[in-house]
Parts: sequence; C-alpha cells; structure tokens
Amino acid sequence: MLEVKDVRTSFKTDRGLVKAVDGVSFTLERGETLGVVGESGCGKSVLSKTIMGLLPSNASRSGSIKFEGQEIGGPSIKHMRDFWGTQMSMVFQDPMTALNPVMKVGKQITESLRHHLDVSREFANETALQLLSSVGIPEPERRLKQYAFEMSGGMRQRVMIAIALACGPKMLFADEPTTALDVTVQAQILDLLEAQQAERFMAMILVTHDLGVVAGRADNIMVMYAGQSIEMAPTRTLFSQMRHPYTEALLKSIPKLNQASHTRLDAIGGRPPDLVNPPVGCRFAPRCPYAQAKCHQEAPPLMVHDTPGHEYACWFPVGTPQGAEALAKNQGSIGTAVGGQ
Amino acid sequence: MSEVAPMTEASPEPTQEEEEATKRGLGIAAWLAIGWLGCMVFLAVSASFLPLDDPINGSIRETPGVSYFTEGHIFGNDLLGRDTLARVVVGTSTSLSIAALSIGFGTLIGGFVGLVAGYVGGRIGTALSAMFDILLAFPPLLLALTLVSVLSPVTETDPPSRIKRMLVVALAVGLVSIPILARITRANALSWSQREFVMAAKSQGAKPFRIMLREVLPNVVPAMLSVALLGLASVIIVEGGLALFGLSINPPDPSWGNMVASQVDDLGETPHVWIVPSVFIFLSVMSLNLLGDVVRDKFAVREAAI
Amino acid sequence: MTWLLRRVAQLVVVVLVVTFFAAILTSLLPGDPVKTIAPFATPQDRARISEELGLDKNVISRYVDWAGNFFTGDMGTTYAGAGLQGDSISARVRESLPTSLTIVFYVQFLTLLIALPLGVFSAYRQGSLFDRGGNGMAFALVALPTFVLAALLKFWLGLKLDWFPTQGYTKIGDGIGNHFKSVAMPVMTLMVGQIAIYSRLLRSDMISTLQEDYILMAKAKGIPSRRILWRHALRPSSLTLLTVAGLNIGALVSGALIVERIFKIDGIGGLIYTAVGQRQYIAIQSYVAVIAILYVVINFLVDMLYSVLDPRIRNV
Ligand SMILES: Nc1ncnc2c1ncn2[C@@H]1O[C@H](COP(=O)(O)OP(=O)(O)O)[C@@H](O)[C@H]1O
Ligand code: SF4
Ligand SMILES: [Mg+2]
Repeated sequence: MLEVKDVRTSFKTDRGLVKAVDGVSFTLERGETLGVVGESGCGKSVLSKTIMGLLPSNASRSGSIKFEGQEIGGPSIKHMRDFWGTQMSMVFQDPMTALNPVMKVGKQITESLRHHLDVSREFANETALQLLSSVGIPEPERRLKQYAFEMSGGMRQRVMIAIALACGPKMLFADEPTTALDVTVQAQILDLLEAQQAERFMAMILVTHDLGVVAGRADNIMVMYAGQSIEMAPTRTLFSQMRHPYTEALLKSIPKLNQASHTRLDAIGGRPPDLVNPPVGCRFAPRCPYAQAKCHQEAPPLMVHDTPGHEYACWFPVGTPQGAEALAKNQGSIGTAVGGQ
Repeated sequence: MSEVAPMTEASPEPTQEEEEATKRGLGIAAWLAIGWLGCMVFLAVSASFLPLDDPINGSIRETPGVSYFTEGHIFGNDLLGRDTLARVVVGTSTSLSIAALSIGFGTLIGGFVGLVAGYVGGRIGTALSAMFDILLAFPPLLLALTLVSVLSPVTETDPPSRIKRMLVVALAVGLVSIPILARITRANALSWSQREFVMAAKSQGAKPFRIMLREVLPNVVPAMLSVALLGLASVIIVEGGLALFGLSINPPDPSWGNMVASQVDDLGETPHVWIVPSVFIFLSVMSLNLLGDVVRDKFAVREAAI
Repeated sequence: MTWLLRRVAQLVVVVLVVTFFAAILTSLLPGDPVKTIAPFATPQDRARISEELGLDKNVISRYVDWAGNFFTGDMGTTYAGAGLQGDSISARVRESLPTSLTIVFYVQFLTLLIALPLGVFSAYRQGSLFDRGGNGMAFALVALPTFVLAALLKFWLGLKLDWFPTQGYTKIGDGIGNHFKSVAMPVMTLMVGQIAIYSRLLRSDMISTLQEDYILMAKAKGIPSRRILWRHALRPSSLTLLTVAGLNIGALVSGALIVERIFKIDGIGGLIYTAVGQRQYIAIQSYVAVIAILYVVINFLVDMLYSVLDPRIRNV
C-alpha cells in the first residue's frame, strides 16, 4: 500500500544543507506495523513528515512515495488535503503541544468529521463520543467539553489518538507517541494503538527511540542512523540475529524497569554525526566497536545477505566470523579502537 | 515563496531577525534617520546665529500669506508676514529642547526608580510596579494638560518668559514619562539581576548600590536608550497636543506644535504654515522611532509586557 | 468564582486609589488651593469654597466626602473667576460622555474589523510583498501624530473635497446619515494609528502561533488553511493584542481629546479644553477621575475577555 523509494529530505539552513533523511526505502502493507527506531536526531520525525507531506518550506525532497499506487507528498497542499485525515493521519509526540490549548477537545474531534464527512453536528458529536470511549476514556460526555490542560498526559494522548482515528484513516503515523508520558501509562497507550490498528486493519508506522517499544508490536523494524536506514528485518529475525553493531548498541540501551525512560546510548559513547557533512565511510564508524580501516573509507551498502527480507549495511556484522574477528582485534588493542575515533 | 506550506514556514523567525540585525550594519534607513536628526539638532543649536527673518514680529514691507518658494521665503510666510522658515527653525529649537529636557528628567528619575524596583524586587518592587501601573491609568495627554495648567496658574501676573514656560512644559511631560521609563527599566533590571555575574557579585559581598550601578545598570542602558528615543518622539507629539489646548509655550513664540495649533481652525487660509512644521514633526518622529527600534534589535532588549 | 471575586476586589481597590489621586490633585498644588481655584475671590468666598471643598479636614475624610458625592453622581460645581458657584459638573459629564464613548466605540470596532484580517493575512504570507509593504506603511503611520493627521483630513476631505462637515457632532437621533458624516473624520483619524499597531502586533503573535505543533496537527487533519488561521491560530494569538488594546485606551482618550478639539465636538475632550482654558480645577479633577475609572473598568473587562479567550486562565 505504501511504497517509499530512495527518499531524501534536506533543509536549507545557515550552516548549509542538513541532509536529515538520506536515501530511505521500504514498503508497508495494510494491517502491518513498521517500527522505525533510532537515536533522537537521526531523522525519524523528518521521515514521517516527509511521507505525510508536512515539511516546512525550507525543506526539499527527492525520491518517490506511492500510496496505493499514487504518487504523494508533493508540494501541493491541495492534493495532500485529500489524504490528510481520511487516508493517513498522525499521532504526535507531545499531546500537550499538539492539542489546541484554547479549543475544547470535542470540537477538535468533530471538526475533522464535519469537514471531511460532511455530517450533521449531532452525528459528529455522537461519533466523537464513541471514539472517546473506544480509546478508553471514561465519562466521554464530560471529557468532550474539557480543554487539554484539564486532562492528564495519558488522557490527552488518548484524545489525540481519537482525533487521528476520527475519519477512519488507512495509515497511521505514531511519532514517539509515549515519549512524553509517564512510564506507567506508556504501555497502555501502546496497547491501545496496537488494538486500534488491528481492529481497523490500518497500516501503522510506529516511530520510537526505544527498541523495547516495538519489540512485541511491529511486524517489521527499520533501524535508522544519521538519516539512513541501516538494518531492516522482520521483528523476530531482527531480535534473534541482529547484524548491525548499532542495532546491538540500541538493544543494550533498552531501559530497564528501574531506569529512566530517556537513557541515552551509554553502551557506546559519542554523538551522532553532523548531518551537514557526514563522515565518508560508514557513518557509524567513529562510534563503532567493530570499526576497521575499511569502515572509515568505504560506506557499506544496504543489502540482503543470508536471510531473505533481512537487510543491513555493515562490513563486519555482529554474529558473523568477520565481526567477531574485528571485535577481537579492537578489544585486543583498546588503544587503536579509541584512536580510531 | 513556494506553494508548500507558508504556514509552517520560517522556523525561528524572531531570533533569525535579531541575529541579522546584530550582524548587519545600520542600514540605509537608520543612516537617513541619523542624518535628519543631525540636521534638526544643528538647526536647534544654531537657530539664533542663522541669518533668519524675525520669527515673532512680521515686517510690514512683506506681502503677507505668500506660499512656498516665494523669493526670500522658501516656505512662504503667514498672514502676519512672518517667515515660515524662520519660525520653524526657532520652533525646532523649542520643541527639541522640551523633548530633551523632559526625557532627560524622566530617564533620570524613572530609570533610578525602575532600577531600584527591579533590583531590590520583593514587596518594594511589587509595590512600586503597582504604582507605575496606576500612574499609567491616567491618559498621558490629560495628565500633562493638568500638570501644566497646575504648574503655571493664571495667578501669575505677567506672562511667563519663554524659557520659564519651556521648563514648566518639560517638567510636566517629564513627570508623565516617569512611569513608562520606570516600567521598562524595572523589567530589564529584573531579568539582569538574576544573572550569574550579579549573583556572583552578591555572594562576594559587594554593596547592593554598587552592584546596581556597576553590574546591572550598564546592561539596562540599551533598553533605557531605546525607550528614551521612543520617548523623545512621544514628547514631540504630546507637545503638539498641549499646544492645541494652548498649554505649550505661549504664542507668538513658535514651537512645532504651536505652529500647527495656531492654524487648526483655519487650515485652508495659509496651508504651508501648518504643513511645514507637520512634515518636520512627522520625519523627526519617524526617525526617532526607527532608531529606537534599531537600538532595541541590536541589543536584543527585553520588552516589558507592553 | 473566587477568581472573579478576587478580580472584582482588585478592581475596587484600584478605582479607589486612582480616584484618590484624582481627588487630591488640587491639594497637591503649590500654595493655597483656594487661591488657585478662584484667584479673584473675596475673603468670604474663599472661606466658603474652602469649607465646601473640605480643605479644613484631613485628607482621608476629605476623600471620603468627595467619593460619597462623586459616586452618587454629584461632582460639584464649577467656580467662576470671582469664586461664584457655576454649573453642575455632573450634568456636563452626562451630556458629553456619551459622545466621546460613541466615537471611541466606532474606532475600536472598525479598527478590529480591519486590523484582524490584515494581521492574519500578513502572518500567513509572511515576507511577501503585501507583508513588507504593510510593515513599511504601518511604520510611517505610527509616526503620524493624531493632530497632524486630523489637520490633514480636515483640510483635504473637509475643506478641499467637502465630503464631511469640518466641525460639530450630530446625534444619531438627529439623522443617521449626518451622524456618520459628523464622526467620519474623527473616527478615521483615530483608527489609522491603531490599525497599524494592532495588525503588526497580531502578525507577530500569529507567526509564532503558526509554528506550534497544534497547527501542524490541524493541518495533518486536513483542515483548510482558512479555518486553521481563523479557528485555530487567531484565538491564541490575540492575547497580547487584547492586553495592548486595554492599555491603549489611555492613548485613545488622549487622541479623543485632540480630535474633539480639532473637529470642535462637545465630548469630554471638549469639556476638558474649556475647563483647562478657564482653569476649572474642580471640574478637571472630576474629569480625570471619570476617565481613570473608565480606563480601569475597561481593563477589567479586557481581563474578563482574556479569560474567555484563554480557558487556562480561569483556573489559576
Ligand atoms: N525544519 C528544520 N530545519 C532544519 N533542520 C531540521 C528541521 N527539522 C529537522 N531538522 C534536522 O533534521 C534532523 C533530524 O531530525 P528529526 O527527524 O526530528 O529527528 P528524530 O529522529 O529525533 O525525530 C535533526 O538533525 C534536525 O536538526
Ligand atoms: S561498517 Fe564498520 S563501522 Fe560501520 S557498523 Fe559495520 S563495523 Fe561498524
Ligand atoms: Mg522526533
């Protein structure tokens, strides 16, 4: 249903061209969930906004995005408006800032119903009530008349999901839908999304910086680093035989129950590269415990190796003899590993 | 601009503008403004040395009421045969003196009170700031009118001298400007007083008054300068308002406001007599506003709630 | 509700303080106030005026007396030069205040009608020719003092083109057409600067609102731009505008004094003009009190409106 091919998005800024998404391809069918995982700043949100056609005007993109065979995400707002809300919609990261602070939440739900489906006020209200109860909000009549600031974070996010679902979209983007929430409600919201996705047979793109979030929920997982997709596989495959050192590092950084949810990649040090002038070879090389001289010179291509449907871009993959050898070499002489940075 | 999304465009607009403003030079408009104000100051200072006709007493030998570009009267003259150029130049010196005196006075007092209110903060700061708000509840022109009429009551037997009257007007307008200047200074002093270097000075046991003058004041000066420039512009306008009510300096002495006011009931007779000073007022006010904005942008001055 | 009560209490306090200042204005005069109020009065007249004004009492009880009279509609009388009692000040205010308020109302109404679309559209097309042109024009118009603009309009539209009467005010009951003609130039004069200020203010707030997540969210819902601008962005962007509109009442009153003077309209500005000319201090004192109360009350109403526009405020 969604076919994304070699999409690149860049922003004109004072510092130069920020290549936020740099050649990403994937396909997604109805009823499937794709998990997009990566550190913050690696281009996940920009990718979602690119597909949704919600980029600011200092952005330009290339490549092809086909939705049910139709090219979308072009520069015309008019064209995209036929898709927004009814074909695809989005759950934003922070429900506090993404809900209008001075408009009753009921109004925010009914306005898209009224606009897209041209239904009567009563019908829209009725539908909004049903929506609110279906996303697990108690006392929906009372909630309809409330403002966002009168609700808890979890409630707000439920409202946002109700808004996104209002016009029955075929595809849902959830951009870090639980990052701004308490740990205790995170699982509830994710379960809700999963249930709604199954019930409505939608395609869903679940964006997160936390591999743990997508573990049991996505059919496929795409790992992004510095604007590129570096490993993609069915969820089970990815967890059982991950190949990319970055994916491995992400897995190590899954927050344990007793840790804060925002733990950074402390399994490996360093920061993601500058997106204006990315490194020449493998972009992860400066931080990679497996990195060899070759990695700094030549970028590994993203390709299928042994298992069908499992792509990755690495010269010395985890769990292979080459990888083991490279790691041993680096660990044998810690000095060079650090010196390689 | 592309068709994409004008609504989400221009990410961090104000900061970008600010940055540009600091990077850029002054810009042609600002230089023009400085040039115009320079001319005005020159005219004001040299008014009594320039070879001008008598601005007060017309000459019987002249044809009265001639328009622009008459020989010997580039801006024409009025029905009493007084040269408009001479009157507007002397008016410049009057109007600018009033503006400078009153804003000087207002900045001194308002700045000091605002600095104290902002630096000391707490109850005193809140009380002072509530007082500024109450004073601001009186329309400025009304307050100035009342003050001038109170400060120079009819009981005075002989009409006050030009200088004395000028001082009275400047004092009245200066009083009106105090709460405005105090308010802005307070807002800025408040934010600067919480900076690390002020805290550091405090923790080293420096005297409050010393910190206020040495650490806080220098940082608040751009804000005060910006408001003072805007204030000069407002005083020029308020002087015109006072003149309409006969409460600026006494006719026949000219000021910009007086020259316009003297004609408002007879605009059609000799239009150049009020149009010329109006243009002087307009250009000066615009220049001052522009420079006030430039100072504000250059120093990223924190604006108060208004 | 406690919130409302607190606001009303604040209003009362501010009104009391403001009228206190207004009421003791004359006693702040240097020298003998009676001499200032009625310079040529006989000693007997002076004694009478002094008693009438309660100058022999202390400031507080004098204010209490004054306030008792003032708030029951008795603002005292004017004093002629020789200390004679003149007309009732309250009657004059009742006659003139509606005229001024009518003009100010027209000005505010039309200003919003024009400034809102201008501000919204320049924010939407930020950086366009329209926007930059508007910016430049607003800058120039703000620099045009009320009395200069009033003179220009009176000269051009009144004298040259003869479209509108150059002076006087026609009550709405005495002919709607003439009424509007009589207020046209005063209202235009006061509108111009306000439109410039309001539209630019709205523009800058609107630009920052348009960068909020909830605007992107509304867009992602497929809502048309027009609706996003007017229904989603305008309300949260109008709060600064509202505050400034409240504070601007003071400037508007100053402006009203000027246009009433130039167009010879018997509003409160006209009253003040006469009172100042005749040095009627008791009258000036009452007028100042009336205007200050108006200002405070309008700002109170603005605060109320503020909480209507922004539900978050009701709960703090
Ligand atoms: N409007 C923009 N202008 C310039 N750079 C941007 C813009 N939006 C995002 N970026 C840059 O793109 C990169 C990716 O951002 P984003 O997709 O938000 O990361 P994340 O993976 O955390 O969602 C970041 O480096 C960010 O600085
Ligand atoms: S290519 Fe080299 S640097 Fe890049 S991830 Fe693989 S081993 Fe590490
Ligand atoms: Mg993101």
